[in-house]
Amino acid sequence: MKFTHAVAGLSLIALAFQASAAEQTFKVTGEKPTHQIATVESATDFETFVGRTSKVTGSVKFDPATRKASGTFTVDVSSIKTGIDLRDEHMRSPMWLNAEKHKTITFKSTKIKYEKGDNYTITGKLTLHGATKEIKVKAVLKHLAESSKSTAAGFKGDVLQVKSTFNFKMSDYGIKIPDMAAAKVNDSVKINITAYAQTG
Amino acid sequence: MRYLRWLLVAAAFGSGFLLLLSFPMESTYASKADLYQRVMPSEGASLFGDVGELVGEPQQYIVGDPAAILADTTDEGVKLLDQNYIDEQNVSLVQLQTVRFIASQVRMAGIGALLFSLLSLGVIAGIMRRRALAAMAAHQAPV
Repeated sequence: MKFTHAVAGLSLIALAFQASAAEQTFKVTGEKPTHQIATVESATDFETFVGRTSKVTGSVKFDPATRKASGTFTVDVSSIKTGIDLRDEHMRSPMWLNAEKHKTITFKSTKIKYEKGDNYTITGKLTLHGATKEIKVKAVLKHLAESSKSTAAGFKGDVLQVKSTFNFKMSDYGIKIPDMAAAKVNDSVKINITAYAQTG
Repeated sequence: MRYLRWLLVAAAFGSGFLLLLSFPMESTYASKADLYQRVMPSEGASLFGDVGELVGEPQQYIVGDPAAILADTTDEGVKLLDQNYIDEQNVSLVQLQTVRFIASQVRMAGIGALLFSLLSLGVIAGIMRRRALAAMAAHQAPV
């Protein structure tokens, strides 16, 4: 009886260990600029412009077996570039993103629901310009185990590709478009984020 | 009044010319434009079988340097532009939608200026006619 209990206990411990071992922590350190990108796109009749930055950091806990995940991403506001220096300067100013006061844009997941394939629906809190709102976005999470190919590509450990595209209104976060810029900047902008997080 | 009339005639011709010119100018740009998707090739993208990270939505561009155009296309057949090359070489990218927007603004301004000129010329013609009639009447009045 004691032996049976011992075996059962050891099995439970082994199962628990296996479950926790399957979950991995993937990090986006921002060290290599080509390993992550965040873009913000504004489309009006006059023009469509895209702001880009590779200064994205974050971490994702992901279990490839159970598809359970959670994560946080941070974007450096002052690093966003649109291709025109004057426009970048305006964007960083207090009239727009106020980069000096609100240095980062962050997204922290509160719930990640697996859909099918590599597709997920993520609910989380987006903090921008000092305001935080709960949003729901679609995302793709693709896991790749460590291999000679991933090492040759400059990655350490397993790699997790995270991709998401979503829209938000700047006015929802307290950013009011000046009348003179109304024809050039849309209140509704599209965010696209792609990151290659790694366990090593 | 005479000088004002000539000025308005010149303005009417000028705005009419600008109005007409906007059409072939827009067509010239449109003939050089094509639909492109900007992408940033990267090690991560190729590791997962992608050409690169997408930069914005596909747009119609006039591309200043054909070397920026990649050999691949999207699944929908849209041509790809190498954003890394564009950044390094400072390649000129003109959006067709911007050209069309400016052309439409020029046409609206041209129509407005043309109508104003013609209207003003009409008013001046009316004033001058009344003056001429008044002068004739004064000349024919019995002494």
